[in-house]
Amino acid sequence: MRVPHVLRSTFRNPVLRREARVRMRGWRAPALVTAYVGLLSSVAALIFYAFSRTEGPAAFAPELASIIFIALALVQLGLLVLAAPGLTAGAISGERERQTLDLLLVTHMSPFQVVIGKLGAAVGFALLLMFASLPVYGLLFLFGGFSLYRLFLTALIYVVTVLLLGSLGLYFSAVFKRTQAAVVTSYALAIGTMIASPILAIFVYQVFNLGPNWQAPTWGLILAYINPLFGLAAAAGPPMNEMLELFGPILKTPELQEAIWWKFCLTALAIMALLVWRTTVKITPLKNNSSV
Amino acid sequence: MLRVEKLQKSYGSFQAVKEVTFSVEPGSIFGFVGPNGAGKTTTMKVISTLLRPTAGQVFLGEVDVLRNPQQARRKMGYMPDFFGVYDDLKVYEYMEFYADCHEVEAAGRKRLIGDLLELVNLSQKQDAYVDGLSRGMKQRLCLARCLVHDPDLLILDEPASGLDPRARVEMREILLELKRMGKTILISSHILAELSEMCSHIGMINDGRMVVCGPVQEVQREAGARIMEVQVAGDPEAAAALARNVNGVRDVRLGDGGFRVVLEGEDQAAIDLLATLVRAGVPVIQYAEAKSKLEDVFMAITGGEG
Repeated sequence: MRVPHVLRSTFRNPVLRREARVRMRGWRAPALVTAYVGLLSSVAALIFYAFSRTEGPAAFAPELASIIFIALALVQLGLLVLAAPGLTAGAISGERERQTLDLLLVTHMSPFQVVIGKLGAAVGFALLLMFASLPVYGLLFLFGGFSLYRLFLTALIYVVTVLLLGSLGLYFSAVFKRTQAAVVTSYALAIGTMIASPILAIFVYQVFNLGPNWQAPTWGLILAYINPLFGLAAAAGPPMNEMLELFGPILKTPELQEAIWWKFCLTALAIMALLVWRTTVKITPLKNNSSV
Repeated sequence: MLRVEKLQKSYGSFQAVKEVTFSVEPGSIFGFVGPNGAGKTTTMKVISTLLRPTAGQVFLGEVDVLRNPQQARRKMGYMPDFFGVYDDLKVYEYMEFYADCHEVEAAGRKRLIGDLLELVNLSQKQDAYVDGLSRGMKQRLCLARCLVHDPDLLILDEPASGLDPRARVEMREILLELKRMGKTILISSHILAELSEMCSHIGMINDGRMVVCGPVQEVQREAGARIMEVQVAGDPEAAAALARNVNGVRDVRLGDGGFRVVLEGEDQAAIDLLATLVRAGVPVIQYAEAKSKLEDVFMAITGGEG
């Protein structure tokens, strides 16, 4: 079977290969993967320990598995949100600081390929962390309580989240000359949005609630569709999706609330495409808008 | 090979490059000379497709560099005035990375990289980390990187800056070897002595303007810095006094057993000088044109601004 050209050129991307080679060299990457899986395992073990102390030893305990699954899902999302902007915020500015960006731009690689290579390397490492954590989820299956479908959806949310936050870090990396400024701005925006969106939703309901027949304005949802936390809540299903009751005044049916996961994915991918395009424009030499 | 026509580059109200025009012949080493801030790097960045000029055109062979940058990049290798190396790669990996970026065929790549590392005397270092190389080695590695896609034109911005004398000599030898291999080289420097021994052509830029451009000897003559070395058997002071009165002689400097005469640059002045000395019965042992230093030329052209 022939591998599609786009995939072939992505995996042959020299920037992606170089980043992967350098990132996996030495003790740092294995140590990070070990720490990551260790943290998730510890969370699972602690909850299991607490449960077995109160309820006694359990063989089939779906309620325990679903609690551990929610905890792991939230911790994993938190770790990826913390990791993703950091993996890319120094990607372009670092090339500038090392004075290697010009050298890349005079090769046969297009600026788009450079940007995709950088983003691919960051996403690749985040995927490695996710795959490394699969055995922890595998153990949970022994207890029942959540489906493979839900696990797949949460994994999809993680990938989209990493793409969104990775492209955000990459964009600021191209905007700012210094890595430090790019890192601070990326984290401020990523974490700020996650905190601001539920606050905005509550604010909208409280301020605009004008009585029993009141219809909440739909723009209160805007930040829900770019918040990975709500995407995850919709993807993970019950009981985690209870947090979507926050949007009850607008999304009145469970189906509409469930749809948040795919709407989040589409919105995030659209924003990612926009950020990748702007990043590419930012680093392109001989821009057409310059005068000749 | 390379034609630059009426190139201009402005940053706001500041004009970094003002209507610079020059061409580089195939197989030549073109020295791009000027003081710091004269516009050398800006011009080279435009040629290398990294900057869009405010006005003007650049052609590499038949390729319009500004309209077809991708096509132009295949024909040129650019070495900026800084190292630009990934410290976390080994020397071979570094070369392989740029070979990948230039889409160099995988077959024969190992041999190509080996040959290039041998050319720049880094064969023994191919498994060493780039971080561990000396400054001179890093510069040579950058030069090898420029060659990985076999470009016709090399654009080298201050390749010997910050190098010790030995490393400078090594760099010069490599550039001369590249010339023998048929490469065309555009090299910049603010140190004129560095270029005088290897360049066939020279362009002097000052305050964004190309002040003079052409074959080195022609430039020296145009600048009026033609120098004749005269050795005499008798009293050099008397002969020097005679020389001072010849038309076209600017200056006479006495030396050990002879004197140096600075001429206007025309052949006639040199002919008149020798005729005057012979007619006066001065026993001339040697009468030869000395290579004037490019520093003298540059100072004469720019009026000492550099």
